[in-house]
Amino acid sequence: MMKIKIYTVLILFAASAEVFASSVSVIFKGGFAPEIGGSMHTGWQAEHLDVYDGINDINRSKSGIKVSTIEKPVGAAAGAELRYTGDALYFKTGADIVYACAGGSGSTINDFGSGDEKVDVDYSLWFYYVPVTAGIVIDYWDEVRIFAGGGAAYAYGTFSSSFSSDSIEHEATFSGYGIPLVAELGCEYLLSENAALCCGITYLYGRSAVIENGTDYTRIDFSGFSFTAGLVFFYDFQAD
Amino acid sequence: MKKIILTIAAFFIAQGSLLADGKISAGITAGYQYDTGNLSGKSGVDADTEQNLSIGAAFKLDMGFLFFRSGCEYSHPVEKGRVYNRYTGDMIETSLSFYEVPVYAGLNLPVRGYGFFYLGGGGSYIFGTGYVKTERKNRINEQLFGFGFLAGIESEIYNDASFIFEWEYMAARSSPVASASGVYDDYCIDYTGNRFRFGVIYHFNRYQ
Repeated sequence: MMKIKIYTVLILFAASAEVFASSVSVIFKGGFAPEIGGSMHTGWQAEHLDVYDGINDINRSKSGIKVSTIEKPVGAAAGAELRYTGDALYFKTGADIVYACAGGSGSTINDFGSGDEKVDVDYSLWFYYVPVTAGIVIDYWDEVRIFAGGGAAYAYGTFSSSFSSDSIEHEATFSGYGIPLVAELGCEYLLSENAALCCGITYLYGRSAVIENGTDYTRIDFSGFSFTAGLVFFYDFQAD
Repeated sequence: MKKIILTIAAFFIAQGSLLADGKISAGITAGYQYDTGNLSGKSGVDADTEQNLSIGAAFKLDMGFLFFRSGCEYSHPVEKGRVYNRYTGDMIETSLSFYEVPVYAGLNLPVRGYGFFYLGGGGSYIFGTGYVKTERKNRINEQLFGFGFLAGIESEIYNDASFIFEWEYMAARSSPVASASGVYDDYCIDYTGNRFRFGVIYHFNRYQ
C-alpha cells in the first residue's frame, strides 16, 4: 500500500514537471548555520556531570576557578544542488554539508567527589544531507525569483564529545543517520540568461535514533537553520 | 569570523558610496519576540515564557541588488518569564532587556509594482541588561555577538517613504549569570530566537 502511494506521488511529480518544465539549474552555494547540534545531550554527561540538557546546561562558574564559556557551535555550510524549475513549481535535490567551525569548546566545573575541579569540554559535529524538496516559485519580470518549499532529507553525521579534568577523561564519537524534514525559502537575481545570484534559508528538523558507544549514548540532532548564498547556472528549455 | 563580517560590511558601505544608484534609507521600527530567553526550550522545565516588545531605529543601504542593514533597537519585556521547577524549589524570574545592533547584508530584489524582497546573513551585537531573580536579583551586563539572518519586504507608501516588515533569526547565549542549582552560577541567558518587526523608512537620496 505504501509503495503504491509513493509511486502515485512520483508519477504526479513527473507529470506536473512535464507540464511546467522550463529550466534545469545547478546551484553552488556556501554560508553558515547560526547554531547546530541541538542540545548535544549524552548519557555520560547526565551520569557523571549531572548535566541533563547537554550544552544548554554545561556552563558553570564559581569564584576562584577560571573557566571559559562553551558556546553553541556555529556551522559552515556548503552545497551543490540540482533543481527543476517550472512556471509555478520546482523540484530540487543535491548534497549539502554542515561542519562546526566555531564554538563548542571551553571549560566548566564539576565535583567528582574530591572537590570542585575544572573540566575541559569539547563538542564537535559535522553532517551531510541529501534533500529532496518541492515547492512554489514566483517569477517577477524574468529578473527575480522567490522560492518556498519543503520536503525531507537523508542526513548522516558524526558527533563527538570529550571531557577531561584532573580526575576524569572521557571521549566518545557517534555516527548515525536521520530523515529530517526540510523547509526552505530562497530568492534569485538573474544576472544573465544562464546565471543568477541566489540567497536562501534552509531549516532542518529531525534527529537520529539513539546511538550507543560503549556505555555512552546520544542522538545526533540535525535541526537548525542555515543561511547560504551562491550562484545558479541554468538551462532554459523554452528558450530553444 | 566577526572580522570577516565587519570587512564585508565595510566593503558594502564603500560600494554604496561609489554606486550612483545607491539608496540610503533610515526610519523607525517596532518589533516583537516570543519566548525571549528560550525558557520553553529548556529540557524538563515548566515555565511561563517571556515576551518582549522592541522599538528602534533602522538604517538600510540599497546598492542595486545588494543591501546592507543596520540600526539599533531596544527590547523590553512586557511579560516576564517564570521557571517553576528549580532544583532548590524557588522560582526563577527573568526580565531580559537588551540593545541590539543588527549587521546584515544580502540580496535586495526588486518586485516591480510591489516593492522589494530582501534576504541576508550576518549577525547582531547584543548588549544585555535586566535581571534574573533567584534568591536575589542578579543584574545582567553582557555583551555578545550572535550569527543569524534577516528576511524582509519593503513596500512603497509614497515616493520617499516605505513600509518594512522583517523576520530575523539570531543565535547567542551568555555566560552564566545566576545560580539555578544553588551550587554554581549555571543559569545562562539564551537570546536565540525569532524577532519580527515592522517600521517606516525614509529614502534620503532616492532620486538624486
